[in-house]
Amino acid sequence: MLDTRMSEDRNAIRLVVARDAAGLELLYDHYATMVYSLALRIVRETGDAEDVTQEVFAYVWSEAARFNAERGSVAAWLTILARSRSLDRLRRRRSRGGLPPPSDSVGEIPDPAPSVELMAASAEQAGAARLALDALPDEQRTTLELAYYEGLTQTEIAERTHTPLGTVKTRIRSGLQRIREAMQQPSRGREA
Amino acid sequence: MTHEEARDAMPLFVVDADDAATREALLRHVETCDECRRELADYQQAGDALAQNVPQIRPRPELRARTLAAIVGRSAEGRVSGPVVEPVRVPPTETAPVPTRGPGWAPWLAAAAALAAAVATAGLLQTRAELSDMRATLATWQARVADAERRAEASQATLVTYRRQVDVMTADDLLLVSLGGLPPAGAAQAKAFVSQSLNAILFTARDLPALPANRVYQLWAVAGGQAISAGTFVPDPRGRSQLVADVPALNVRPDALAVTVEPEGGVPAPTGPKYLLGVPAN
Repeated sequence: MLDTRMSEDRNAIRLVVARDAAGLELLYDHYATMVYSLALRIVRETGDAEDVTQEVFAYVWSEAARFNAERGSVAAWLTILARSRSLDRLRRRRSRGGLPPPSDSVGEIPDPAPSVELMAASAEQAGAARLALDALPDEQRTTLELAYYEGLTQTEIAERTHTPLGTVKTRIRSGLQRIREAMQQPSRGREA
Repeated sequence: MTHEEARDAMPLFVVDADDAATREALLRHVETCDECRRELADYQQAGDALAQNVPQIRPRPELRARTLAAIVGRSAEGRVSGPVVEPVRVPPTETAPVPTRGPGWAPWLAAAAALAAAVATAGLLQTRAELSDMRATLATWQARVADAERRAEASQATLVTYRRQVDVMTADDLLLVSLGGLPPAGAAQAKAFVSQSLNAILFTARDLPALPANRVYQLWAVAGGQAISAGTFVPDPRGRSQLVADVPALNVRPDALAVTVEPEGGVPAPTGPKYLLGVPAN
């Protein structure tokens, strides 16, 4: 099923490169929720998340020829775009002194379908990654979240959390290492 | 950078928490080291999983039309511009040539020219990126304007309907008709406000049964033994419906109002069973 989706995605990219709007519609229908959800997690404001979603698909329409399937899946490409555009917005807002609203102010109902399967090589790996993430110690997960969702550097995280720089690095390494190991040995991770 | 140093740097690279120098060194290393490149890809996959482990929330349905209209709708005028800075996942590592030392001005001039070219290129790239950002922002605002216009049009239509309702309710020749349900719609009830001078009927109903496939309800004004159609409607899932019907043929006082079930699109004269029936109260 994953192979089918990846094949559909590549065909959609080809259509977009050929300036066929059907390709863009297909990609939007497959990935708008994923892009919007990640943007919303980062910018925490629905208007900005919608703007990011629009910018991401505008970029896809404009630059689809740059997509290189050897570098990763369409889902991974869109995730990089969504995250990078969202963090840009967040940083601009910070530089103007505006703070993001608390995450619980986003009163929307989550879609029960997770999207991690779109990125992982298999559903088994996706499940293992989710389990590993859930099982991370709080300090590791928080440190990873500050880096990934708020775009803070290791130095900024150290300042924000009043933690030595070395500890920040260790937490990031350990957290990602656990996820990576879980994805490499999904069945063992599930039994654990 | 050694293999060990590269492995050490990978997790921070994946979450962009490293510094520029380490990032650059790692990118240079994986260019030439297959083993580390594979390992970095594994870490990136782990990072992707983190990025995707967020609650999945569907964007508002309107965003789809707005986005596609903003992007594709203008494609005939030229390419839609998005941000042009490609996110870095695999390193571009080109080192600038180092001028060789030697007598004379030539090497210095070459270095100066290279520097000037580099500065000019950086400036162009910066300008291009800014221009692209501006275009993306413009596309967003154009989409917002289009969205606001659509909302304004919808509001205008709603306003017209409300005004029409007020006109009917305050008409001098207002007739009130209460309609009762007939089997199998015994629980259904409806009210109608009829103005012959405005050729209009304001009609509200509740507890109407669900319709069979390909059928609609049709409202009739009966006058002098003739049934005049006042339009068709489909109630909401709770059996409620409201409409303001313009009935140009309503030029006499109706003796009764009725609702029947008819084929989709309605019929010129009633053919189906009566579900609601009522006579004017005044």
